[in-house]
Amino acid sequence: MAATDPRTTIKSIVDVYLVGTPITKDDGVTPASTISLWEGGPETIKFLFDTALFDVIITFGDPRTRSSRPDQDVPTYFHMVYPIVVTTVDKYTAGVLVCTAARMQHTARLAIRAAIAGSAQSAPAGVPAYTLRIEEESSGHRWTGGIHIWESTYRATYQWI
Amino acid sequence: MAAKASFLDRGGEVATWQPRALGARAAASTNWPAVTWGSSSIRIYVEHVSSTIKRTPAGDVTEERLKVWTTASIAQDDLITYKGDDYLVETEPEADTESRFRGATEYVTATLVKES
Repeated sequence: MAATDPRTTIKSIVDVYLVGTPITKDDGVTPASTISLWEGGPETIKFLFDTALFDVIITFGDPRTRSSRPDQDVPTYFHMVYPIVVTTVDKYTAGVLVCTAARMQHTARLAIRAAIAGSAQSAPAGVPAYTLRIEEESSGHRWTGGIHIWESTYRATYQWI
Repeated sequence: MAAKASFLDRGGEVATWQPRALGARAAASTNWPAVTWGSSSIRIYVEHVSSTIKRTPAGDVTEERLKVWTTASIAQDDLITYKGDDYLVETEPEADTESRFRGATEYVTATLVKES
């Protein structure tokens, strides 16, 4: 399952990229503490940011899929849109802002775009064959549960041939 | 022990409290932490709050909620087994203190939702 599950594939692509090119804090040098998870885990946002002390949370959600078969005798293509959500909050050390949520969002945006672009298609003769791209991005911030969170959603289209 | 707390511990009903603990991240794909459960016997006072039917494509489910009062240090997402059924501590427990100024917790109250 893991080898063919697109969500695992996409998460692995992002994880590998971040190991080599980590998201940095405001100083542009210190690597931020980043966690990538499937959506729906047992931990709360406050636990992840305040207790586990992560600076950036990346979650991979459930897909929306549509199929297309434009011509007879052409295989059916499945366009699976996977949401990748990056969540950040303002983080302070000794009263000094070291991770500005909005700035971290921009740094994470560059990382997500580069990670996906770097694995835009499966290896030759790879199984399953796929192409991958970011179809849409949306960003915003909201006050919820007593914390101010910034969220960006990247809709990655995984076209499964 | 203050009067309120001793009263709660003498009366009420016996239930099994299963506190939730998060362990190391073990799941390779999801990166979620492992969840383990403790077990101890506690006394609770229970009040039935609501029972509603929710319809899903796979079938109906009854959503039953209780309110509990206990001196145990229950936390959100812990499990309590009451009369053979498992209930999830749905809300963050609210503490009632012995005195506004001394702040010693007398008991906590929370809403439970039936899981099984």
